[in-house]
Amino acid sequence: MAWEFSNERPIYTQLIEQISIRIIGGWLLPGERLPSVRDLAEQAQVNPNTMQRALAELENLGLLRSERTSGRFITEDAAVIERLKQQLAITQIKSFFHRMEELGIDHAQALVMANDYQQEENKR
Amino acid sequence: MNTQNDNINLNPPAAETPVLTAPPAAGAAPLLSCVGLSKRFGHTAALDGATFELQRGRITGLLGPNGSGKTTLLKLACGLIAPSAGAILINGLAPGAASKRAVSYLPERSYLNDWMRVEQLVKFFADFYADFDSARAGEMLHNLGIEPKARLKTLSKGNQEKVQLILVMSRNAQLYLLDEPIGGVDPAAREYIIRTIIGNYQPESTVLLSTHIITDIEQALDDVIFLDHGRVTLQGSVDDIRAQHGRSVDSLFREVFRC
Amino acid sequence: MLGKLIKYEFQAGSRYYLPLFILIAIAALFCRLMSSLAPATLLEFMVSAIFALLLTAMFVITFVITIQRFYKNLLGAEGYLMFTLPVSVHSHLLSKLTAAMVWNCACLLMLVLSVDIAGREGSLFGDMLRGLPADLSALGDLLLVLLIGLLSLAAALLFFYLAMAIGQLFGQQRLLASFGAVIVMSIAQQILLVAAVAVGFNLLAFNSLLANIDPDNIGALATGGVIAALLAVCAVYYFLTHWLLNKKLNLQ
Repeated sequence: MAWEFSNERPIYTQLIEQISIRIIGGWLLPGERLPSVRDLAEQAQVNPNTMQRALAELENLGLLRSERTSGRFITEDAAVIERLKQQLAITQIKSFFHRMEELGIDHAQALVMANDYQQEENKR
Repeated sequence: MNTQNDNINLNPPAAETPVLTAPPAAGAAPLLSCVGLSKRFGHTAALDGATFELQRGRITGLLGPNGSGKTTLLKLACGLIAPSAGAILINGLAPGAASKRAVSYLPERSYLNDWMRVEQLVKFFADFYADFDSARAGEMLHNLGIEPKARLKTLSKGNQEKVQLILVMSRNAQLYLLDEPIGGVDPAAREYIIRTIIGNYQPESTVLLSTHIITDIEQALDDVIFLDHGRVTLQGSVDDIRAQHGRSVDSLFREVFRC
Repeated sequence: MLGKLIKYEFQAGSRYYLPLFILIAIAALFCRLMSSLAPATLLEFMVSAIFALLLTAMFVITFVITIQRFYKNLLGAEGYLMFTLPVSVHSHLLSKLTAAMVWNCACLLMLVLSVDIAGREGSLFGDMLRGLPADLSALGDLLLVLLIGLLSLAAALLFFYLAMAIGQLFGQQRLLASFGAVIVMSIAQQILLVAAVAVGFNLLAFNSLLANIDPDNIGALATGGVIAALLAVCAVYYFLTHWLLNKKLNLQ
């Protein structure tokens, strides 16, 4: 999965999001050991201090766990990951409904259209 | 730690800034300090009272249009030219043989003896700089497939520039001064250079790089300094600027320096 | 550090001088070949004449290369590398000067050796060795002559180094300015020389103290004066060059 950043928002918030997505989506597995801050920063081509800040925040959120000598690990707490997944999913749903509203389609209508679309997809 | 009922806040406030480095000890000299730094060439003032400080462990971009005094500032820090007025200190020292030990400089142009072989150049740097890491240089050259016995002038221009970059970044210097490291270079090479700068990061050292191309490198920088007609008009962190102005540094730069 | 700089000076210089000296040696051998194959012919004469020209050229080339080395390595693009090394400007100047002196002396040696190889009767080198004075005072004289020779060489080199150091102040017109400096300095040097000689004569002729000096000692006095003057000239050129490169460096 490639690192992609938008230019208008602070990098560290985007890093937190992107690492979260990687954890939820399974690109980073529970209990997996993260590369060093510098290596990660190099991979993502971002500033190491910014990466460190994002990782520290992810630790605070409970998504990462740090062990003094062995480095940083993804949490094995499935509940935390699940909660995050729910939260991000709801953000997406919110965004979907908001966009539909901009098109003049209310929530109920949008739900119907979504169901219809899914049934079409299943037929193929 | 959040309780079970809290939402996970993916947008923590900008105020919390844990940084790799410990804050400087009280009374520790900043790595680079300029106070009212000025330099005239004839009637033109290349620098006109520039004032700023750099602490350790930061990658700072010196941004400004051509002719804003970026190269002059870097040359002053290297001790290649002397100021007309004001002061510049590296680790509390005025530029001289002692400060040069702590500084690793990459000029915009090629400055290596092009008749020398790559391995001879590595040896040259190792001879004069105690902090030079020959093994690291060798490894980076090997990864690029550059033949150590090749004479520099037989290499492509792109590879020549990379050799120069590798030599400069293979030092364990305290202050790295890079003059337009990504100017006039293709995107793949640009990525290599940016990754090399990031990969070389040390909490005890600091990188000051000048550039007028900002987009690619913005996310690799901690801080930026805007230099306009020889003066510092802005100094701040990239993330703060993005948070406060809601746009990229590049976008802000274009507005500030609009012709 | 100074030793390392000198090492690199020799490494850089040998790229030019070794081929040059080898070429001269080959030319000398060719000359000898000619003299044994076709002695006293027009061809041999022409070959000898060309060889003599080559010897002169070798001197000129050697001197020019030492000057150019200073210009290219310290004032050209490489200057960015050299002046950011953690060494003093003194080290740079001394390393350049030392290497230049050695190369120019090697050139002289090459002259003697190649004349031997080209081989007229006997050996120039052998003659020189035999001609070495047996007693101590004459040996002392010889050493003084050598010293004067070396100081003159140093003064000549430092003259051009200073001219280039002045020239580099002028940015884009640095080459032109260097030539200008050479001209101005030559004139100044001539004027000073004439003035010194005039003063010296006046002192000798009109100063009663000096007039009483034993004529035998005038030679020693003159030699001492020359050496002192050369040392002074070298010192002035050296420290001016140092000041310019230390405080007024203006790399393009």
